[in-house]
Amino acid sequence: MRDTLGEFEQMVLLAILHLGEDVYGVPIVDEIARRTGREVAPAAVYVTLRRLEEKGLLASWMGESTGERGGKARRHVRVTGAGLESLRASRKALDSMWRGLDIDVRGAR
Amino acid sequence: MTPPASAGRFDPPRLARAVVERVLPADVRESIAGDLDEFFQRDCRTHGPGRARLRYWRHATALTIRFAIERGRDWRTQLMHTRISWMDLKLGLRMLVKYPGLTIAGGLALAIAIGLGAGWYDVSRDFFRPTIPLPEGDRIVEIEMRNPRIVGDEHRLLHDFMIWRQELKSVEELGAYRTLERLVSVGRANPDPVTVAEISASAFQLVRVPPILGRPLIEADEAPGAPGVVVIGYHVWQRRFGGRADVIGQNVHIGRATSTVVGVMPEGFAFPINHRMWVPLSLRPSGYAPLEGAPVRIFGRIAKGASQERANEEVTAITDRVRASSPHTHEHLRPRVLAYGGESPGESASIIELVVRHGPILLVLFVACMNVATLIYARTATREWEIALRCGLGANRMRIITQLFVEALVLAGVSAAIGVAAAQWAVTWGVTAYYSSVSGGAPFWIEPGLKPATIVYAIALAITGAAILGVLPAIKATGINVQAQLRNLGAGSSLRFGGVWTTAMIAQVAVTVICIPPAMGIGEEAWRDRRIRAQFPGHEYLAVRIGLDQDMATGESDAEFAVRANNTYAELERRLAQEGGVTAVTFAEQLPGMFGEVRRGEFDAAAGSQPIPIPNLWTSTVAPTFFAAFDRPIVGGRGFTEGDVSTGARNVIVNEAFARRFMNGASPVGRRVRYAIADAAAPEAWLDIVGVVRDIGTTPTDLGEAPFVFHAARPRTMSPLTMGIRVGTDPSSFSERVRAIASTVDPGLRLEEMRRLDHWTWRIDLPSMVSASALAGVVALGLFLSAAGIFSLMSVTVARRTREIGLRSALGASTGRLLVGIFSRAVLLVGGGIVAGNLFILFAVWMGGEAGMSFVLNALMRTSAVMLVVGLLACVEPARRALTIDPITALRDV
Repeated sequence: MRDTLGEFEQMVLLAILHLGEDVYGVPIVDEIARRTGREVAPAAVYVTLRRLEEKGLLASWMGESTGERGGKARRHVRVTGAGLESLRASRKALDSMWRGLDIDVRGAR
Repeated sequence: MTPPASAGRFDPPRLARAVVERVLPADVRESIAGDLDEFFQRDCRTHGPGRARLRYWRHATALTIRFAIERGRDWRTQLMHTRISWMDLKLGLRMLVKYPGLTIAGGLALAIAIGLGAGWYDVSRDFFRPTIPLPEGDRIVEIEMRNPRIVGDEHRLLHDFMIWRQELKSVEELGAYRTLERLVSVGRANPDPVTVAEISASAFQLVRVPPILGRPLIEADEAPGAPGVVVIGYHVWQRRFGGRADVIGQNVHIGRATSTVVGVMPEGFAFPINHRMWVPLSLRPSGYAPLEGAPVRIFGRIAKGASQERANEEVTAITDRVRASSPHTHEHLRPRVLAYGGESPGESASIIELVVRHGPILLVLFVACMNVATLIYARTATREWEIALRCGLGANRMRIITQLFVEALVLAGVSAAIGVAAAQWAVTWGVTAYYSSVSGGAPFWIEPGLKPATIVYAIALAITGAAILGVLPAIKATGINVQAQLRNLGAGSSLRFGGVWTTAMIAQVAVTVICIPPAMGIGEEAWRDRRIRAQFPGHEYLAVRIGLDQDMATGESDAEFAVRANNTYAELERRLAQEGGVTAVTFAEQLPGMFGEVRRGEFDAAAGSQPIPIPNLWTSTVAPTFFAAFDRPIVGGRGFTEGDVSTGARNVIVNEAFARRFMNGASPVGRRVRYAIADAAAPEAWLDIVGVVRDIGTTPTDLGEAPFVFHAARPRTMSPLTMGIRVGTDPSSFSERVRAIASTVDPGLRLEEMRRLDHWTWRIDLPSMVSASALAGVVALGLFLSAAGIFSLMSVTVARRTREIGLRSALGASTGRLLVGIFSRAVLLVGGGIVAGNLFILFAVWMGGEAGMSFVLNALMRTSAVMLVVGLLACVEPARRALTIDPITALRDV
């Protein structure tokens, strides 16, 4: 059985999809913070990115080094097909769990 | 403080950045560090540099913690999916064959360390905290009475025993025993010596071991006038009675008495120590005066709900009361309750006790492991490319570490097997030899040979050792950048001997340096002592421990026993002296060459002056005939007379060494000497020196023969009592005649450890010679390992710097400059180790404060010279390799 994605993993993958091109650590942190309205620890994002890549849900590659980062290169990421499939499966599982519950519970979120 | 700025940019805190770069995995290090820089610059703009720095630190800390957790999770996952295969073991065995030098050196070091650890663990358990194989054996105790004024404990405890038996609440089933060595015979068979326990009947309730035939001793057997009975051991039953079922009711002759067999104990039963027969201990109903009666040992069981500490307090309180009523006998007596068979008081070993007992051995193992780990690390350096390739082909780090661990485990396992086998042999031999001179053999709780728990301990040591010497180099070796290493294919090793390994090797050299002086000192002393002592004509003498026991069954009083003992020893001496070939018979506590008693003393060299303190003063009690029997003339004053053996006499004779040491050779006759004791309020009385005897020459010290004080006494009052018989030819063949004469003089005479005096001396010298040889072996191994470590370091250095050496050679660098450039590190390493070791020696000498400066300098020069020579020899082969590098070949691959 495929491992279900955790909430934060879903957020990271969705943030990458929202950002589209030239995605790396800094904009991902900003995007999650902007959309969820809460402060995000960069360390949590980097650990999650690494874990998702190990699972094959992300692919990464090194970009060119830039002067504003002290000559250090960015690591760009994109969601793989397996990543998209995992996101869909996670959403389906959640929708299935919500289906049939009355409005009071939905409203209690 | 404002962070340094350049062109409107601020730099993140240096330390935090260093932390980030240290903790992040290599593949994401650059990108995340760059991201953090980006966050920092943005924070500087929005929040100011101060807050930006704080936020940078927060990110760095969070990254450190999260990646550490991730790493731990990865390792756990990898470990759970990593299996040790036969292939790993096979590879490990092949490595042993492929690197024979490392296998022999490392294996030997580990075998010694593990063998020492296992042997010591086994022996220390037996001696310090043995397991008594009896029901509730851990609650059985012995009550001893210490007297700091005498060597050994006070055993004349019948008075105290009878009080303890009535009053003690925290110790129950209290009993007493004494050991008798008796000639035992059944019917008309020849008598044989058997170790007999004259023991309280309560012993059989204490041990809770029923006899296999008949009954145990009971209280009624102890009553005065009760018929003589005996319980016999399984061995005696089989040997003397052929295992007959009708043994109960048979008569046995034990010394001068005849007893009826009432019971047979099961095989292996030998309580209280190593006894084969048990007769009742009859006590006088009217009681005993303090310190009256025969010496006995007291045992019992801690009562339910009581503790050893409580028992100690109770016994001490009772003794305090006895001391108040009888200060002249009990003033210096201090009782203590000990675990039976053990030395350590208390109910469980404390952490400190365990650390003190096992710490040094575990330190030896750790040092050995670090030594071998250095060699393995050097070997791993030669396999760096293989490791990188395996990583590149998909092997994870844990897989590689596991394989290197298994290789180390194979080495440690083989070493452990050898070490345990050697320890098994050594412990069996040592315990057997140790107890061979003890009548009756080893105590019943000591089994020669290693116990299963010791084997488990050795396996644990081997696994721990493998973890140290396999995993540490493996972690270092697998931490390399695989891509970089594969890119660098064929360019040589990138592994370096970093700070940890350099420190380990300096420590190894230092430890070896520290061990050299004691090894040399102990070795020289052992061989010197042996050489000097071997010159004494001990082969002309027969020596035998001798004893006679007070007859408690008949209620023999101390005075009656004194008369009987004096007559018996005088008769024995007379009968032996009449034998053909016997030229002298004498008695002493210790004959020449045996261990003497050493005490602190004071010498009153001149009237009115302060006494000269004497830290080590050898003392011996001898019969007046002693010096003549050993051809040692009186060279000053007079010899002992019959008047000197009386109880109140305070005349002593010293040897020439005493006169040389404390009177510059002048005669000390007429001066006084006394034994110094810690209790200054009641110093011992002065002794008058009445004569000077020629040195016997069997107690060498660093300053020549030891200073001796001789006391005169009758054989009866000596403890231990040793008889020396000078026989013209082959004293050993005379031993049977001595036994025959002794049995006719008194069948109760105990003759133990009868052998030629030079054999006695040899047995005494042997342990120190074995220890010295073992220490020399360990130091030699340490030197070898140091040399191997330096050799490895230099070999790896030369291999790593092949191109550089080739280039410098091509550019015309001289041989000398090349060698200095390469080997300066080895010189620093050996020099650092020598300096560290010498500093430690100086510190130890300073703390000890006894050795002279010339001795210390001599020791330092010797150790430094030895270590330097070893270090230089280790560099010879790497130097040869470095000098034979062909510049063209070396530069071809650039």
